[in-house]
Amino acid sequence: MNENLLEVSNLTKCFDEAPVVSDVSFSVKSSETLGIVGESGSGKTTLVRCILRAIDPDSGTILYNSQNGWREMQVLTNVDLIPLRREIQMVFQDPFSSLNPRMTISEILEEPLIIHGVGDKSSRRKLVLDMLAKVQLSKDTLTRFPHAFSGGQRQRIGIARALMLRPKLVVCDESVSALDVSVQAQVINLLEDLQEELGLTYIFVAHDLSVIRHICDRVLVMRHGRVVEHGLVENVFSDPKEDYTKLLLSAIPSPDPDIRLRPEDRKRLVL
Amino acid sequence: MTDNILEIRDLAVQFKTDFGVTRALNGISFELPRGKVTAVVGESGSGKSVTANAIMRLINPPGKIASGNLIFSPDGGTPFDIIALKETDPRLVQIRGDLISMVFQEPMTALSPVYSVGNQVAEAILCHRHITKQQAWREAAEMLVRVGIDDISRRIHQYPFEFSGGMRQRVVIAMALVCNPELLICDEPTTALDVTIQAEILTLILNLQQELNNSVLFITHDLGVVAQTADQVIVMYQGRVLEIGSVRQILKAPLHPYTRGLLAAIPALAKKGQRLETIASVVGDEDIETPYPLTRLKDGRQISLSPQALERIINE
Amino acid sequence: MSDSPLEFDLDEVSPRQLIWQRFKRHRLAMVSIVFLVLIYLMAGFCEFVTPYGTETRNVKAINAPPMTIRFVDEGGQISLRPFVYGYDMHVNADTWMREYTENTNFRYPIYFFSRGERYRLWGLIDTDLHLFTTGHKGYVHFFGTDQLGRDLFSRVFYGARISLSIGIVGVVLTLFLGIFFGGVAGYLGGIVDRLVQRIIEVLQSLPTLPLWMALSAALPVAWSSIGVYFGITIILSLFGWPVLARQVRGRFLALREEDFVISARLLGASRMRIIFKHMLPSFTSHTITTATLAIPGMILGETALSFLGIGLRPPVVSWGVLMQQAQNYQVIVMTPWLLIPGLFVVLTVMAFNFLGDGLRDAIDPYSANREAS
Repeated sequence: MNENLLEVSNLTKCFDEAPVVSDVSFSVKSSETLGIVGESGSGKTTLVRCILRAIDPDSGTILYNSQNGWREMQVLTNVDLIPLRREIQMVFQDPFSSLNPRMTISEILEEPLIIHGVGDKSSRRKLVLDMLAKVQLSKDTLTRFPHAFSGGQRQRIGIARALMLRPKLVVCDESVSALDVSVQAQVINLLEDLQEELGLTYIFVAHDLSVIRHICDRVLVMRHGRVVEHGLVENVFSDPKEDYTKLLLSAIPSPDPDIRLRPEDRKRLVL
Repeated sequence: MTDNILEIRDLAVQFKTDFGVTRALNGISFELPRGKVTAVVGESGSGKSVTANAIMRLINPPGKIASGNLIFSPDGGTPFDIIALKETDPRLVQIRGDLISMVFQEPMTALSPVYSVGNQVAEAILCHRHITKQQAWREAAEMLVRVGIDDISRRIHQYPFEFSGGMRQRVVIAMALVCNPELLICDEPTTALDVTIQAEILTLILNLQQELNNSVLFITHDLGVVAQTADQVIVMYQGRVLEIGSVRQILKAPLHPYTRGLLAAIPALAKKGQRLETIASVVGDEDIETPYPLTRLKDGRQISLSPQALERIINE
Repeated sequence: MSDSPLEFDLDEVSPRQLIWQRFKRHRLAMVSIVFLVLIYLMAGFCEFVTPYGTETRNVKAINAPPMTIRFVDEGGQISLRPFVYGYDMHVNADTWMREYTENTNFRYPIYFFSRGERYRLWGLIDTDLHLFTTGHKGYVHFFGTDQLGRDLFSRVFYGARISLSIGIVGVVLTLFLGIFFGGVAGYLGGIVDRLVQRIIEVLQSLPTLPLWMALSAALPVAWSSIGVYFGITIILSLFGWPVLARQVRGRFLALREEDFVISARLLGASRMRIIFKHMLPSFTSHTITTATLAIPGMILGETALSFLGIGLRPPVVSWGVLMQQAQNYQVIVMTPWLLIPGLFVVLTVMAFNFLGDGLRDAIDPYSANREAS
């Protein structure tokens, strides 16, 4: 049994006094993939942004097991967070807006190293090239700008940037949702390969249950800012306990025309 | 003899850009059978939305329809070519909204933020029929009830921003169906919606299709949605049609390597822990990049493949 | 999922090069930029470009009309060297006005890169080289002369130096104030933001023209012409910055939420790095456009104030000062060439507007092109 890497307890965040995330507790084990699934407005994005301290939670604790022992993330100042930023990284949803359009790929990938003062120019370049090979992009991408790439390629660049500092925990916020099916499959495979190679821990946020089922070990089903159901993927998907989870699962359109729902079956889905 | 509401023949659409001419559609041909749901499935850049816009004659510069015919056969009327219509032809107005109407991906942009939903649905009626305003509002209310909007006496006076995403899409569908069009084009109508809402909207579209018995062209990238809605499926890639067949033929026994790859890439169909197949791992580029004419097979499906690959399939 | 045109090979084109590609297609903007570069060069080297100084008087030609440059003389002979004919002056017995006709006996050839009046270029280089003169005999007045016999052609370009530079200096000042206040408000937020917002609202609600007039009238008469020049510039930019500050603030607020800025924050980048590496470069192009579109306002402001006699005052020469001479009806009827400075104002303002439009069109599609997926 792996030890816990992240422990979140009673996390709450309100916007304009309306709770967007309320009283959420869960933990992530080292080297596992935790899925967070929910529809729009479920608070899943706000939740992970709190964990990353992109926004500050109102209450609750976020304990992270860093190289130098446990840290209480929610109380750290921005300056104290900087060493932790090396260990926790994020891959964004939109591969178009998450890369600075005015920087070349080489500048984008080198930036994390510069910020954290890693190596000199030549060793940094070597690290960039290594990472580029890992995400299966060719060397001549380096001098180009983001607009010259397709969505899938940009997402690989986003992944490469997140991994430059060799983080332990990577948060993927809908990272494959905007991609075409075939490209999505490639990126999912890549993420799985990298996890195995680098021993990464993923928090994978998605609204697409079939993606979650495919790559996650455990899943958190969220609705209206609360955790509705929580458990191993196999259990939640094959034997959902809560009505909402059942509804979500039955709403996925099956790609098999033989299990087409008749209209009267669908009507029963509405909660 | 089959009864087709629309026959697309060699439709080619080009876009002029700074870097030369891009062919968004490369001479595609297919038919839409009357009273059926036809799904066009493809990834971005496949030209599926361009096809929909071409049918409505909504290709704006720098794009232009380079060649082809769109033979539209209204029920009981004489068939005519949509592409040959002049801008001033009254049939063009009929095409847009009366005979054919469209549901877009983003309901918020399809609705005007400054008019009440009742006003917008009534306006859609008044564009095509000479009836009184009261009559139009009455019919608008009926249609809104039919698409599942409750508390109509209050809701009809509300504005789009007061509706949720799913409810807005219902209003858009009401607007599209209020003139009882013979052909309804749905361009990714559920892509922007949550799964549970998507299920509701799909049900609504299918129910109304059965009630009104119109033909539907359903454009999507989601094979799950295709499986749940379509009778006939058209697979597009890079402005070309690769395979046409019934929903079972395409999804249960795809023949074209690209279609196979597309299906294998869906996480829902893959075994857990197994690597997903990617299109690149299924076929060499050669097979799908070269344009071959569509060939009709014995079981009625059409496929675009190299002669060798075709022979192999026929022998099997 | 937009069916964007298929991908083409953009290779190593930078966003800047893309903007340039689009800008080049805007014909009017290209013409404007050529015109502006030319007129700024001519204004910059006006001592060299013009044959006379601002105060040089030609008593033989008072209120004389523009001369025609000729290549063919009375006898039908063609000369490769352009020349002008001198004036014959007589007084109209009815109106008591001087009237000029060309006298074909006085033929003054135009020499290029020839010696003429001595001057100090930018107060540094002592020389007497001019782009063109008529040598030691004769005179040339392409745009005619004013009521003191001063060459209008020369004065228009000396005036251009002042009027055009006020536009640039004023906009630089505006940019500085706008970016500073807008950036501070947008980045710090809170009380600072609210304070700056209120100041902007107050400044924007004031009627500009009367205030300009009041402020410029308040400039001490004893100030040197340089002092007045900067005074006017500051007054003009004082009311120009709020517009820009608002835009900058808006961009800052929007950019703060952009994924690539958040991503830089999550990498642990410092505030300074985020502002200078990620945020500022993202709106330089917009700022340049705004600045370009603000320059005509400055030029018009200076012209208006000087025209009304409360801006720059003679002996300083600016387009506004020159137009002051054309204030009455009589002048417009009798000596319409004194309106030529106005023509330059119109052309310059139009050129800046076309240029700004071209820049905006070239920059905007880039953000729109992001292809919503």
